[in-house]
Amino acid sequence: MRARALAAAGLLVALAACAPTAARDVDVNRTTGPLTIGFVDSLSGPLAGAGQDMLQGAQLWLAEHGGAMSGRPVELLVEDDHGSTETGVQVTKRLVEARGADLVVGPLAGNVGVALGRYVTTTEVPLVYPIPTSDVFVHENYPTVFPVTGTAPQFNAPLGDWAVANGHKRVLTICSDYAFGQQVCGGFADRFRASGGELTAQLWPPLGSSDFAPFISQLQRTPADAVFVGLIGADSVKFLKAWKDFGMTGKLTLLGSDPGFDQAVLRGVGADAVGLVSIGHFAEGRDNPLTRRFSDAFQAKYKKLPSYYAASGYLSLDWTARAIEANGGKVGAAADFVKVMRTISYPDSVFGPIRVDERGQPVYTTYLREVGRGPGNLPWNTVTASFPDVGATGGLSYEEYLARPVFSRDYQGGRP
Amino acid sequence: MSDRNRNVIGVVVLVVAAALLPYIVGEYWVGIGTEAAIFAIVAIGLNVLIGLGGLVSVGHAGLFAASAYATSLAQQRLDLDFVTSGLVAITVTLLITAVFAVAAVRTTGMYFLMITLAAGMLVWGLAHRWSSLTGGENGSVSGVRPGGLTRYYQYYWVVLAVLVVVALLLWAFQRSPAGMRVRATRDSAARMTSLGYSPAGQRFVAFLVSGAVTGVAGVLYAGYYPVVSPSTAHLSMSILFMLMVIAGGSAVFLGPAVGAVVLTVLRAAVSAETARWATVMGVILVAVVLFAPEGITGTVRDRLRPRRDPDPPVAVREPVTAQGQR
Repeated sequence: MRARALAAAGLLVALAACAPTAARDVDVNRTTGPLTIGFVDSLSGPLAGAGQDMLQGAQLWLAEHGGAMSGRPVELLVEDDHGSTETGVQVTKRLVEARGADLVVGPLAGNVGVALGRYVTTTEVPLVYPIPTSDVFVHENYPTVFPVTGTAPQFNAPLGDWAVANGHKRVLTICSDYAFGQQVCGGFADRFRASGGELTAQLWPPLGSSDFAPFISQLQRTPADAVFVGLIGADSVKFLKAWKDFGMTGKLTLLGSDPGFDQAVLRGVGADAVGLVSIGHFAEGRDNPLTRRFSDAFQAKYKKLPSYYAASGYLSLDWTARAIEANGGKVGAAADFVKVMRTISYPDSVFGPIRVDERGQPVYTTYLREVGRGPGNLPWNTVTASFPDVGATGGLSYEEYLARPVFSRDYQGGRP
Repeated sequence: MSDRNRNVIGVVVLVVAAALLPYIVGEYWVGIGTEAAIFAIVAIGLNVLIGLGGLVSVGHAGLFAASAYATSLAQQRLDLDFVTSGLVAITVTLLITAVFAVAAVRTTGMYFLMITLAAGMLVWGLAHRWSSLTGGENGSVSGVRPGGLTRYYQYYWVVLAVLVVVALLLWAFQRSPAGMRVRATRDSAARMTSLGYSPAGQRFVAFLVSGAVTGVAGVLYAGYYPVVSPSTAHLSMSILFMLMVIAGGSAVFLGPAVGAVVLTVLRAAVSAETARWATVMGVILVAVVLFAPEGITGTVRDRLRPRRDPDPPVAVREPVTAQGQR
């Protein structure tokens, strides 16, 4: 009996020694045949509206380009992460390990993004990240991840300088209490204080708050010249509604963050939004042929104006297509592909001019925006001033920037 | 051949078949198998409370996540290897379990459920808010695996081996005097008191055993996933664990493990086909409750053994009187 058990155990060890072969190996050097692109997005949960826009932006690009990149038909495999980190990793594993994705575009939610960044580095597949990332990505600088639209703090930083220069010396911030909202706030707070401004308070409603009344009454008790709004999607809509209901309109200046008064928000607010001032790397009402053509096409197809999420989905596919073209029609090794992506620059795009800096972070022109009346009398963001060459570090050198911690609720810029 | 021998052979065949999985399916499904085996460990651990102790806990995701976070933090901050960080994490989880248990063991039924719910949510809240320690929504880096066993199929075998060892230990616990006392407390706390045993003490033991096993699973989970995030501690995860036990059948020793495998594989298969997978899962669970109230394994067992007329369905549980003769 014992001998037999030993023999069985020996057999098992022998079996274990010969590793199973990989079930599916994608030839990354193919230059013909279908191109399989995994698309990880939040199509349910609090970010569903923005997620829908991002997908539609990508689909618009495909429709305009005959559904192909470098002559290869694109198969877009869409997966929903529900805004959950765990689900995000699960669906991406499925895309990479079972469905044979050549590359992955996504995700939308900041928390999912951090996990995916870590996951894809263990695989052979590049990740094209469409939405401003956590600045974890600047610190880690993963060789197989390309952040198409920079980082969350990046585009809010110029507003910090601008606010002080325009007489808003004491500001209160209200930002969504999750990774992305904390980073949006951090970008503003850092430059604002560096320019000599004073933060009188920071309010942190959780993502998906249903009632903003307690925050508004708290805000009324705090002295401030202006309020920085770093809320996302539906939360920002609810906040603006409560703001009006409390009769605060006109009493205090609202300074909108990059996502705060985005088109995804304006749609829900309607005519009341006209006159709102914000910062942003995308303005659907920018007077520019590329942006205008994109806005018109998006509106014709989906009966709404594009948000920056839509523009991000669109640009991500365009950037990917250019990289594949430059790479002779193949994706190739993940790190090499990302190197190619970093060599591409846009003299102009739906966002504006974009170039990539020495660390592989994109540099954008950022706009001071004011909501005006657009086509069909719908509110849209128009450009009132431009800040060219806004990079990831808020004006610091990489050496200084990387010596600081990652933005979080506890670290909102300045000397740690 | 006796029933018992047949069961043993059946389980051995199942384990060998499970070990051969990487030769049959690709990386993705081996990953799902790894996850299923980790959840199976949690489920049989949770069943020490639900099945053996008659106490429903909906806070186990808190313990599971606490262990996963502890593993990750011990690796990142203290630079420990997989085994050492795992031992640290299990110790931490045991301490947290003890705190949970002290608060919960004087109650049963709904009150027990509410206290474990609150305790589980507490861990979730901490994971979420104490961002200087846990990394908040960004989560904490994990994915460190034991040296030399980092390939996906090797790690699957590690998890499977741990599952087998944990199952054997729990089987032994269930038959030990301590396990018998837990069971007796479930059946009649009053009689245990009259025999000189503290019911709260027995429940405390059951909770600690359950927590330790959940801690082991948490360590394995930290090795499997690249990041531990607050969603690991979320209430929906606790409910998933409870459903695994119920769907598999809490009256059969390996029932919860079967439930864990079925639910994990089903979720992976259904979510690949439709975005409305949560709805489909709900319908399936309702069907299980309606048509297999004893769980999958309980119902299958009853079908296989039609000779149950003399005994009520709870016959596998030993009569309470056996306890007095210790």
